[in-house]
Amino acid sequence: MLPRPLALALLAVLAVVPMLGVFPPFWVTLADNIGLAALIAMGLVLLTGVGGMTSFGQAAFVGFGGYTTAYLTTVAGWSPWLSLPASMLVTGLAALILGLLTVRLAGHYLPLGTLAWGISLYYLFGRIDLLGRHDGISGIPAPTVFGHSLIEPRAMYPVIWGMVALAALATVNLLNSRTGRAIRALRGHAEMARSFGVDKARTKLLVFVYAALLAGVSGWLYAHLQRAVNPTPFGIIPGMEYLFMAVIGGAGQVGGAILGATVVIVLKDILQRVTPAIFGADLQFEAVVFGAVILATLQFARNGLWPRLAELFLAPPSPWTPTAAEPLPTRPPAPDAGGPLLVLDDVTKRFGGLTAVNTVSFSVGRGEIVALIGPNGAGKSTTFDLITGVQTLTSGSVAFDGVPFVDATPNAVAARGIGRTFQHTKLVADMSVLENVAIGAHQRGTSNAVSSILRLDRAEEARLLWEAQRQIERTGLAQYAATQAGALALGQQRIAEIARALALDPRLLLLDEPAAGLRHFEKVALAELLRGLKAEGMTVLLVEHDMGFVMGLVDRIVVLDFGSKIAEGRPEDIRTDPAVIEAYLGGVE
Amino acid sequence: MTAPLLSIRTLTASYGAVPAVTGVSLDIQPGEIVTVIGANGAGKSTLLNAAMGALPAGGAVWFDGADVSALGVEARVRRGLCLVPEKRELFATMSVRDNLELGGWCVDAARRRSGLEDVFQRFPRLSERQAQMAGTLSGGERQMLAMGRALMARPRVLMLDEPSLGLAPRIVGEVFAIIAELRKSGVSILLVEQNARAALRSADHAHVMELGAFTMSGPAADLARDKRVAEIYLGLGG
Amino acid sequence: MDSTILLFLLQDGVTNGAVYALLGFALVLVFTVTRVIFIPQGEFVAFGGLTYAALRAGKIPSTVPLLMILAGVALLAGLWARRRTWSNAAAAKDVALTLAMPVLVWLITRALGSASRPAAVDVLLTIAIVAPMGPYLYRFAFEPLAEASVLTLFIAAVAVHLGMTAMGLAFFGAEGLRAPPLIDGGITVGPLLVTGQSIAVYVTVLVLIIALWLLFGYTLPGKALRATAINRAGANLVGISTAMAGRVAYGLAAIIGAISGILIVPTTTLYYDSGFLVGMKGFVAAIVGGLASYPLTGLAAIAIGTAEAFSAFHASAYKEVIVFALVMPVLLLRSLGAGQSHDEEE
Repeated sequence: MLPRPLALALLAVLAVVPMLGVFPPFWVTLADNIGLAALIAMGLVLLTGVGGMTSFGQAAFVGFGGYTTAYLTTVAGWSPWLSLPASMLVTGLAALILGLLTVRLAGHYLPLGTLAWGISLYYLFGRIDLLGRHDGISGIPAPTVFGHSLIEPRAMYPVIWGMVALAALATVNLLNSRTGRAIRALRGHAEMARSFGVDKARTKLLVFVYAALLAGVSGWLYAHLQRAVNPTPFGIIPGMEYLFMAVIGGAGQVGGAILGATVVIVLKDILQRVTPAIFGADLQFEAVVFGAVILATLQFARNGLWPRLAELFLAPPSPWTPTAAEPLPTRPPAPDAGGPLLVLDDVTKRFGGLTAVNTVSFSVGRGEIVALIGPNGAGKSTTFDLITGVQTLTSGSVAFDGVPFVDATPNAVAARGIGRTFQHTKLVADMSVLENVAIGAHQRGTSNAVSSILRLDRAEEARLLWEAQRQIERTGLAQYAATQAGALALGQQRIAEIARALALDPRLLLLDEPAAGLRHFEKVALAELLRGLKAEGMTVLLVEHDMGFVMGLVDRIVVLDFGSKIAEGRPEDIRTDPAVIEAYLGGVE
Repeated sequence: MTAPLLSIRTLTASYGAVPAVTGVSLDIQPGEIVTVIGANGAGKSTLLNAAMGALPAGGAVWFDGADVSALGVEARVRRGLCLVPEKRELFATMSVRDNLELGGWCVDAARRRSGLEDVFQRFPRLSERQAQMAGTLSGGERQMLAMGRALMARPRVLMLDEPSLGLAPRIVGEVFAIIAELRKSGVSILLVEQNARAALRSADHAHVMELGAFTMSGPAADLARDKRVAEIYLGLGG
Repeated sequence: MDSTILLFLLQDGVTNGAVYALLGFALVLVFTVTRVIFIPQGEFVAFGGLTYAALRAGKIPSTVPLLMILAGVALLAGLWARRRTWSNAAAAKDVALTLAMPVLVWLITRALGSASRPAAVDVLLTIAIVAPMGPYLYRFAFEPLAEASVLTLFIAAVAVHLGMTAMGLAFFGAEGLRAPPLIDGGITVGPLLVTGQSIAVYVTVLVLIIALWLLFGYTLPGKALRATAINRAGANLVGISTAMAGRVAYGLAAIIGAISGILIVPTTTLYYDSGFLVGMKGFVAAIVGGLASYPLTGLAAIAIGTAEAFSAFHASAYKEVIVFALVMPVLLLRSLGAGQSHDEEE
């Protein structure tokens, strides 16, 4: 097992080797190609592996980068170094336009979309006279450094791998930040992220453009390494290959991108040299092997090779606890408008012909704990969704602090100071509890992607993480702060969700079936926590199925059955209410 | 005493990473109704799905004297073990009649025809609506169609997951009447319910499930009188 | 543009569109039954066309050995899946069932040799060669991934496409093939010459559509396929094997692909990799139909064929650019209707 810093140092030493004269030129070229591919695969790690957006079209962005510099340095006579920002700008703009369309695509329509514009752009590159049609542009100059021309693959090597190192650093910085946590929540938990103020569409677009920029830089490097460009390497097949690199390597980690690029490029090279000797020149055997390797990876190592390798050779990152930092600003105390904090008035929700919630009215007073209970299918969850803005009201109104919600969205509800948990816990499984809870404080920070990449966000980051740590301690989870959320027991996951909601600095806490599936001692601990929060003045509304759990805990109970309110009152009255007993124990006349 | 028709032995199953059923055993004798009652999230549905082979499970399931643990869902259906799931899982955009005919996928054409007659006799409402799309039926009718579809496979043990869920009280009564009828015609039933009173009234034997394990077992009539059952449901025990 | 050209372009567009419609149907079928976005559908087209052309020329098509290889791999995957519940009898049955078709096909093609025979024989033989490829592919590439997400299955489909294209190059080489028209001559309707070939296309597509309609609407196996598409869990609970349904769907897709290839190869020279673009156009149609609706898919396919014919006439260089760029707005519309549930899929 290697400690991570040592492994990094070892890699750095290894990276110098190809610059030495004794290293065969053929292998230098191969190393250059690996670097070019690794840049693109790294973008895909963020886009697909972390962000959950599968793209087959990355090769087109390589094309934007490559063609831009090819045109500017040959026709317009620009210096290659000057055309680098231009290449990035053009790629970024193209990505912005395509991204605005693409990130709105749902589910499998998204990869299909990338396939479509990937094909379209490939044909477009081959049709434009300015870009030399199918022949492309040749005679691209090599960049020079202090008058020294980088014409040799060996001279380009440090440039390429320097870019790879920079990109890796930038990507890691981005992932370990406020924005990064939002990105990591996109895959599978976008709705959760929205209820903590993450702008889903913007975050997706950001990732999309970032991945395209890495591809664009790779295109710039490619153009100056080959000193010629044509449409072929920017088509849909290379686009598929880049995605495969990310999948084989392990689409979740930066290391996976480099590993995947290395495996694929080396494998392809070996196959291309070996198979003609065996099968004759015509057989593109490498593509067959390639397809087989991908299928095998999907069937036997769905997370790619990197996690397995890392498990074998790398020591796990050492646990780390945030240190005290200046607390985040808190919500200004609301002017006490008098009256209850949350008021539902004749709330109704219909799905087609089915009325899920029928003219339900109740309120939650400041500092109160109120339970909304009822048997399965009573409409509790729908009512909850209506308060949190996940569903829209058919009629009636929900008012918070005397101000009604108009077209409430999860984002807007969060901004008003309502923190929520989920019935099926929604924690990002491969993030630590600390990072998960820090998502709760998303709204209370302002740092963006650029400041994260440049690490200008560190002061704020320390405050955000310290806030998360404080909420973890407040809820009694301190010993699990560094644990991966996926490894927590269900009871701890529910508490972590409460900590995350508290990190929002909420004025109202909404809990969706917090006791479901919990063991007895876990319920006792949860009830204890909620009593403590109430003592601190927190207002809580919880939806619950488990009557036993709410009886000794809450101030008031509202009972729903078949979408309508059938009872409301103190726990001791509710438990003897004949209508409630009928609803719960059932009856046959 | 005859050998049990269905015998579930120390069954374990997980829902994701969370263990949902932890070593449950139960037997059903021919012609018996056995019920499993318990709160939401106790693991009742997981138990049925695991017994059906729809979820990976530990332990063993014996059916009619043979170990069926390694068999898939289809093979268990062929042997006469059927499940009416909580979500009904009807073919929503196909007609009632098509749904029923597909229920008889595993039996030959003659038995399918006689099965259809039998179902229409048992559920006259389905006969009236045989050309209607399953997705447009009311909640009660859907439950009847789901039961009818399962009966088409000529089950010897029928597992019902929350047959009264979301149904108006009058329809609940109808459903339980049908369950009693079915037992008379020789079908053994494993009934999972939240409607504890009705379930205990119609069953011979009952188990109370909490957090993936049985905490009480016995003749249904005894459990119906047991105060602890009411306590679990209404939280009187805390 | 005069009306003759207009009519000619329309005829051309509808002929192409009819084939895209068939492919679109196959894609909808495969997607609804197995959730696979089946990119390699185009390979069946290319292989079907090339096989038919080779047979017409009196040669043994290279797809015969290819079929052997695929059968072998599928057999291995099947035996591997049996490793925990191994029984010699079941394994022997697997071997016999998997290898019967390729051996039979090989014997027939060898026996026929270069003897002249009616086109219908070659059509049937082509279908017999290409059809089993579908179930074989499903067996080793997709069945082991049955519980995976749509995206994982999609990546697997692209991997299969890549491998199949390369196999195509290995077995057929880089040269293209073309076959004589299915029906020679034609009839003149007003100013327009309707070729026998286009008539063959129309009739075949119509017959196939009616056959599919009868299959899905009026037979129990067809309804079982539909049921699997509508509700996999429900289908499982009535005893329909979803794996078997998958194999049948892939078999049908391969048959449809082979027939499409036979319909195309008399008018266009087909190469080992021609299938991809043809298949993608079927895809565009299937996407317009939301990967669910057969009638919408058919209409869209005709529209694409026509749009392609007209853009080929006006801006032939940009034909592909235009056809594929047109997909984006459709995808967007589809996404708006799809709602949130897709996003939460892991």
